Amino acid sequence: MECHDVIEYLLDMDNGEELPRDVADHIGGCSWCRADVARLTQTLDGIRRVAMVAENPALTERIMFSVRDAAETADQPTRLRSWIVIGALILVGVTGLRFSEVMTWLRQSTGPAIDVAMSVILGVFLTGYICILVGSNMDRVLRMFRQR
Amino acid sequence: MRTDDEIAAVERVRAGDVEAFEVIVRQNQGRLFAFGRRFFRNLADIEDFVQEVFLQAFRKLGTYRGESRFSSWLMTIAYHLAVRQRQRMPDYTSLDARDVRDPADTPEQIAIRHDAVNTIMAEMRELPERFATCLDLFFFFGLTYEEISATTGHPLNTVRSHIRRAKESLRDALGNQLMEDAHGVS
Repeated sequence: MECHDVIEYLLDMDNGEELPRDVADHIGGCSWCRADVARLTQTLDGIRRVAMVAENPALTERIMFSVRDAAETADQPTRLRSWIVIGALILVGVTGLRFSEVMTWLRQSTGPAIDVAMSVILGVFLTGYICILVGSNMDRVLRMFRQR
Repeated sequence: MRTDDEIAAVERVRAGDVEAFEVIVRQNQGRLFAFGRRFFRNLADIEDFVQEVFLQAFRKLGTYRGESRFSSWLMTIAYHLAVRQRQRMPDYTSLDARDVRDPADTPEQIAIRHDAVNTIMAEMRELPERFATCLDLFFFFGLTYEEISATTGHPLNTVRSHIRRAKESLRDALGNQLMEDAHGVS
C-alpha cells in the first residue's frame, strides 16, 4: 500500500470506522502518513468535542416537567377522542331532531319561530361544548400550535 | 453516544419509568442544543426546540427499534422538526469559529481549529443549504454517512461526495497551516 492509497482511504473514511489492517500497518511504518492522519483526526475530534454544549440543569428540569405532563396525558389516550365522538353524536341527534315528527308538530303549533329558537339553542350548545373541550385540553391544543 | 446507561434508560422508560428519561435528556441535551443553535438565534427558541425534540422522542420511543444509534435517532427527529419549523426561523447558520474554543487549548491548537472550522464553513457556504447540513452532521455531530442519508433523505453517494470534498479542503488547509508554522509565518 502506498501513501496515496492511505490518503484516498482516509478521505472516504466514515465516522466511527475502524482502519483496515493494511492501512493501519502502513500508517504504523510511515511517519509522514502518521502525522497526516494524526493532524486530521485530532482536529476533527477537537472540533467535535468543544463544539458541544454543556448540559443545563434548569433546561433538563423544564424538559422533564413537560415529559411528566406528556406521560400523564398519554395515560388518557381516548380522552380527546371521546370528547369528539360524544360531541358528534349529540350534534347528529340535535340535527336529526329538526326533521322528526315532533318538530313537524311543533312547527304546526308554534309557527316558524321554533326553527329560530332551535338554531339559537344549538349555537349556544356548540359554543359551550367547544369552550369546555378546548379548556380541558389546553395543554394539547398549545402543543399542536407550537408544532406548526 | 450510545451508552449502556442510555439503552437501559430507554428500556426503563418503555416499561413505564418516566423518570428514567432524565438520563436520556442529560446525555443528549448538549448535542441537541448545539444543533438547535444552527437554526435559532434566540436562546428561548433554542430551548423550546430542544424541549420539543425530547417530547417527540418520548412520545415516539416505542418506535425506536435499536437498529441505529439512539443519538442519531434523536438527531433525525431534531432535523425534521427544524426543517418543519424553518418558515418561522432565521436562515440556517452553521457553527461560528469562535464557538469552538477550549480553555485548555494552546494558541497553535486554537489557530489550527479555527482554520479547520473556517475551511469546513467555507465548503458549506459553497453548497445549497440542504447539503450544508450534511457536512455539519458529519463534522460537528459525528453522524455516519448512512445516518446522515437516513436523517436528511439525501442519497448516500451524494452525502459521501460532498463530505469527501470538504475533507480534501480541510486536509489542504491543515497542511498549509503546518507549512506556515514550520516556516514561522503567522
